[in-house]
Amino acid sequence: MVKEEALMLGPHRSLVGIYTAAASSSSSRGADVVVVLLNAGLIHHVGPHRLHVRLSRALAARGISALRVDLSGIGDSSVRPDGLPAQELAVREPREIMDELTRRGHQNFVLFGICSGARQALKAAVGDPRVKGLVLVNPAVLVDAPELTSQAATQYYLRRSLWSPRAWVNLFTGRVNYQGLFRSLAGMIRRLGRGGNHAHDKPALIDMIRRELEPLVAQGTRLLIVLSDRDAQFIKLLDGGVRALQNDGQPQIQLYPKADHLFTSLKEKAELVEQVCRWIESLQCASSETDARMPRRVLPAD
Amino acid sequence: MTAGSVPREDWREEFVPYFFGEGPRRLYACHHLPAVVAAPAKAILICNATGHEYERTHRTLRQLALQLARSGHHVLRFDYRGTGDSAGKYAHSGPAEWRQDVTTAIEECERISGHRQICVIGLRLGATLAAQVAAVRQDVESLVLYAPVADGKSLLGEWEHAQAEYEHKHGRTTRHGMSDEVLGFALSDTFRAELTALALPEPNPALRRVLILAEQAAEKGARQMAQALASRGASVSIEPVDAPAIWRREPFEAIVPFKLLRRIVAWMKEG
Repeated sequence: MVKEEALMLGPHRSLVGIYTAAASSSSSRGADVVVVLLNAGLIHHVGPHRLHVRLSRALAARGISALRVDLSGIGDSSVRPDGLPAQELAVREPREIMDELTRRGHQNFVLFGICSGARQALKAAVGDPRVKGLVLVNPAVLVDAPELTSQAATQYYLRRSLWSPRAWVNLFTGRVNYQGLFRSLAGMIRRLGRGGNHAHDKPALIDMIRRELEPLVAQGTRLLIVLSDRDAQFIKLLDGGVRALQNDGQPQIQLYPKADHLFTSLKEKAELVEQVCRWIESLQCASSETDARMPRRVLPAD
Repeated sequence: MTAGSVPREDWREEFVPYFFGEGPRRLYACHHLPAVVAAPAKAILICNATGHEYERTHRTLRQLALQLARSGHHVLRFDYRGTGDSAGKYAHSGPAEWRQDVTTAIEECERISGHRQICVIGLRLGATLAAQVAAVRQDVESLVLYAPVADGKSLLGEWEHAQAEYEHKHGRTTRHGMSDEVLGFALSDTFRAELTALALPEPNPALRRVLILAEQAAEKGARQMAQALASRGASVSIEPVDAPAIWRREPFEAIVPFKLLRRIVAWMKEG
């Protein structure tokens, strides 16, 4: 039976988190990690379609503890009394949560986030060596290129609609946004006229993403980036695709082109949970091997 | 907590998230403590919507709990088994188990508040479950049924339609009504059968007051429900839901129907 505990966290005791304890002690492996699951946008800590609950319990069954948490003003958590701006809180609150878990004896963390949660996880991890791993599901960082994003969206929708009889029926019965459709097609024709791609955009974009991820790689944080839906389509448009962003296999990038943005379908949700569990298990094994070779670093008490 | 009927300007909400019950019936709850000592304070239990409607309405029900606590009531929100943070899998639970959970939560609400009579507020299927449980107890004095589901078949139809729309949008081709999930939540044959057989609540003389906030499209069902509840003397009023149907809107829209929440808070004061 899974053991779960409701916690009030943060300096104002205003953040609600549910701690799922590892089903069995894995201390013999040395470097136990705790997975902190951040909010997917405004969806509370249960996660989209209960994904965070499912993932926390699957991790616990494999000997890995997890904390799913609501940041200020989201889900069960109160608004902070200190009125700090949201941008600052995005970095500060995940770290405050890790501070609290550090006081409870945990030293190594994996941050997990979907969409804006992934963005927050990424920002909070930079400069914090306690973060051994990051799982970023459809992080907004990879789609901060409007023209390429629009190109990805057009290709995505056209490819899907082309083979859908209902889409054709909709086209001829007026149930489509003609203005939007013509705008997309015009954009596509313009791009074809210019040679079909944005060679000048892509290297800059790849460079931008690499620069974003570089400090994390440098501090030894392992990354799993999961992309689905339009985000998966987007990455395929980069010259070299996934490989364009990798260096020595890092970050690991997993594509789920058929899954939607929040992994709604039960089958795809189960696949994501399995993938993330396996990746964190392997990260934990790798960390404990490193720990066995290196003297244990003691973090200053908060 | 302060004495008087109005909380201090610098009042900050106080609530306790916790689990109660054991094993497969261990349920997650939030107890919102009253901001003021004001008579007549009530103990209020909130019953969630279910499935995908749960996450879409969570924000609103939390806000409702906050507003009620602010006006001096004890409020308990909880998750049925297989939903939210409570134990179990959604696929293994359904209306029969959730009615048991409402019963357990009513007792928990009495325990934490020290009250012997409580009010129950339910949303969508949660409203129907609340009314069904209230019908067989002596300790529920009032009910607020927010967009209650009087006809399980229509709810099932609505959910299947939503799933079909989703599948179409994402280029999938399951036949209408044949999917075994609805927007990320399992839909078993047992669950379908239980929804289809969903019965109207029985009348109960212990129930004094009922407020039904009815969707226009479901007004007929709401009237049937009102008739069933009023036949043993409860004072039942039906008012229209003058707000967006939040259970059909995505959580990122963050719509909270504050006007409607204020109406519920005011209604609590009236009785």
